[in-house]
Amino acid sequence: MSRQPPDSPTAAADAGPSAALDGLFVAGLVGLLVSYVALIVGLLVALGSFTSLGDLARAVESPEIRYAFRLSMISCTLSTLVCLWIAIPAGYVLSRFRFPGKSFVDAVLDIPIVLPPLVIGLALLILFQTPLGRAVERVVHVTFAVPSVVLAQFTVACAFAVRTMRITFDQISPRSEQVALTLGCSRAQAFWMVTLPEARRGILTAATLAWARSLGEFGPILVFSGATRMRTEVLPTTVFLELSIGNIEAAAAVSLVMVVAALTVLVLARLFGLRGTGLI
Amino acid sequence: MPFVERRGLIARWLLLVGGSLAAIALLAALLVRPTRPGRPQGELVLYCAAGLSKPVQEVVAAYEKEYDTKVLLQFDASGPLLSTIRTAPDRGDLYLAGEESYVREARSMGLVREIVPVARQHLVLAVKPGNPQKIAAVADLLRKEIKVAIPSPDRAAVGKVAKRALVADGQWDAIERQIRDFPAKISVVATVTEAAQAVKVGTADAAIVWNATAGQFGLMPVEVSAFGERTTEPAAIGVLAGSRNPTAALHFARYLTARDRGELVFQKHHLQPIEDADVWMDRPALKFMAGAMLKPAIDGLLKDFQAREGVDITTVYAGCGIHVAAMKAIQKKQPSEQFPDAYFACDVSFMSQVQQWFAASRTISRNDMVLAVAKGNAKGVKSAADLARPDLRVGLAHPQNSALGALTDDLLKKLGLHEKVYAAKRSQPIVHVDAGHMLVNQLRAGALDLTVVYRSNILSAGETTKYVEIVEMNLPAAVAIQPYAVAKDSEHKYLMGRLLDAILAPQSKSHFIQSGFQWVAKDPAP
Repeated sequence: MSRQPPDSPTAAADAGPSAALDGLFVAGLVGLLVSYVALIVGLLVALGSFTSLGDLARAVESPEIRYAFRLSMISCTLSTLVCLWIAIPAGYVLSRFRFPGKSFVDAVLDIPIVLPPLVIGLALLILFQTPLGRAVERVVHVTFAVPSVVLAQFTVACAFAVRTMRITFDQISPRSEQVALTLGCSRAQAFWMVTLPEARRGILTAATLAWARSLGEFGPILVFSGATRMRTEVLPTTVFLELSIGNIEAAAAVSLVMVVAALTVLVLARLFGLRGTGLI
Repeated sequence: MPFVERRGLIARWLLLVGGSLAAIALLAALLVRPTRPGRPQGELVLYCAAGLSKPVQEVVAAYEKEYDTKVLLQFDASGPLLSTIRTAPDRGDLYLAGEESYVREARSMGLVREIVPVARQHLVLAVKPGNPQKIAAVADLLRKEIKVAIPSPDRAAVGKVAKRALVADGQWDAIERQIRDFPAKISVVATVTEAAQAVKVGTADAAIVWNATAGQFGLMPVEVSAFGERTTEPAAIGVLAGSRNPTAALHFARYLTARDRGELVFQKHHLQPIEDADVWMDRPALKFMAGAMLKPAIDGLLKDFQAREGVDITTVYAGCGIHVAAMKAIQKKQPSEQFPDAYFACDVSFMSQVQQWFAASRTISRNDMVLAVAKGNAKGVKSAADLARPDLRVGLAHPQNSALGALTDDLLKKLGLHEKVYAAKRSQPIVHVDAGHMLVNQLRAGALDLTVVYRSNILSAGETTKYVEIVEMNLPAAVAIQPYAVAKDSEHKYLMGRLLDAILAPQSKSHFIQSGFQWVAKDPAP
């Protein structure tokens, strides 16, 4: 809050006669924010109370958990990159163009968000039993193998990324693009040189959202990829497997490892992604 | 924007596009490289109930050390695993469920072939170590201050078994009333794991779980009389019908359930071993005695069974009198000789003579005794009375060496024909041989005019009906009934039980019928 501009609500509150009311308003806002942050911190403390440094050390040393960590990091990054390749053009098309059936396409893109995760997994599993799916399987083994993990993560995360990119492009005025066109740019050049740089924050938000969503994905992976140790085991799978044998301490330790990994990656991504924009 | 700067911008974005594509390719290569289409030969996929993951992982580690087969474990609750198998039936090899009922259900859907019980578990009340709330009986669950977690009787087998036991004990109504009126006090959860978790994290004071689950979660099991023996349920493993390597899958299933291999590990993890579990042998060598008449019906089946199971079965076909004599000799005089692991008798009368060494027998088929004459029936044979005709060359099975002979002898006595048939004055003395098919051969060769054989002796050999004609006796006593039993001392009872399952399978049934037998066995439960 130290970098707030002078016309911010806090500054205004100090200056105006309704300072008390404004103070109350801000206190209310902060209170609500703090209550949610407190809930999240409470969750972490609760997790921590069920584990110990020894459990954490054992978790970090376990080859299964190391494998799950590595697979989680690689698959989430891969699915995020693929998500961006779909979400940026999809968001741009939905934001800038009108075409028949646009509302329908818009609604279809929400399906992965509204469907229960288990249903996504089941649908993917059935899809790969169809002739088309089996043809793909003849080239690369997907079901119950590592590619299925990435596909399951991508299916769900991409919907969130598309939604984010659509809003991003909606908020960027087409005017700059139109000016670029009048100055002799092609549509593609205007996109690359004007719109995309302006969408940088949105792209980063879509990427972090997709990455985080992929990291926490479990339902579709359980059904479509299976919980196979040292094969399709991602960190949420490890938590599930440890829970199912009563090893709650290890499950809590792995959960904390996940939290730390996610926080590190997301903070680093924001640092590098927004460097030079004046936003961090 | 100056041109140079704009070019720089384009170059930067091109770099980003190219870089992201290269990163995708690199990451994909990292992940996809080890997965190629199809599964390697030495790899099995085992769908395993998550609650049993600890002991199963231990057995798998030992198995992989001993044999060159990798077992990939896929964990989930038994029910969802069944759904996965239904959706992709050819992706796995084995299904290990926490309760046998799931594997049986899979078999009734045609998804599972063989079933082997793994280990038993029974219901207990799980409480915090030290039992701070002093919970000692089901009635304590009704105490106001006690919070309880019960697995759903509709969704979890453990809940189903608990409800059955408590209904029988008259305590279910009170529990159900509390579930309805005080949902915050007694919560119904989806799985046994969730119930145990509730006690471990402190949201419940007690839960109804398997004793093995209580052990795994570090909870204290409280044995209560209301559960008792009624609540013992075996976990079981099934070989999937869609398995591409059933022999390797069965090899692992035998290892997992062997009393000197997997069972020891299950015991260590608080599961009760299966009584009389098979002894481990990489390739078991078994002995099987069967009546000669059964050869046409079971010979092919036995070859298929040995190939699928990866076992060697020495099958001795002979007259059942000879089998009985051999078994008695082994028991009394030659203990070093291998007693048969199973016995498929020509008739119940030849099973009863050795029944003390076998578990309860299962009736499979019946075989009618008929009169057989050369095609055209030139001698005008009409009924069993013609056996006494002195002008006919009559051949009968040996009364001591074969069941057919003994049954024929009994039949002649019942019909009052015995003395007449064996009358000293007859010009053509009765010829005795050990088995029915040999009598048919002699008839075909023209050495006999009339004989008594099983219908299967004629119908099972394709060409025989061209030369031999059946004259029906239609007598209730003229029938042999074939039972199958596994030896009490066999070290491979479950393996020989699977042979019985193979005999009872629909394909085998039609083969028996084609061979002239009538099917008596009831269709097996799934």
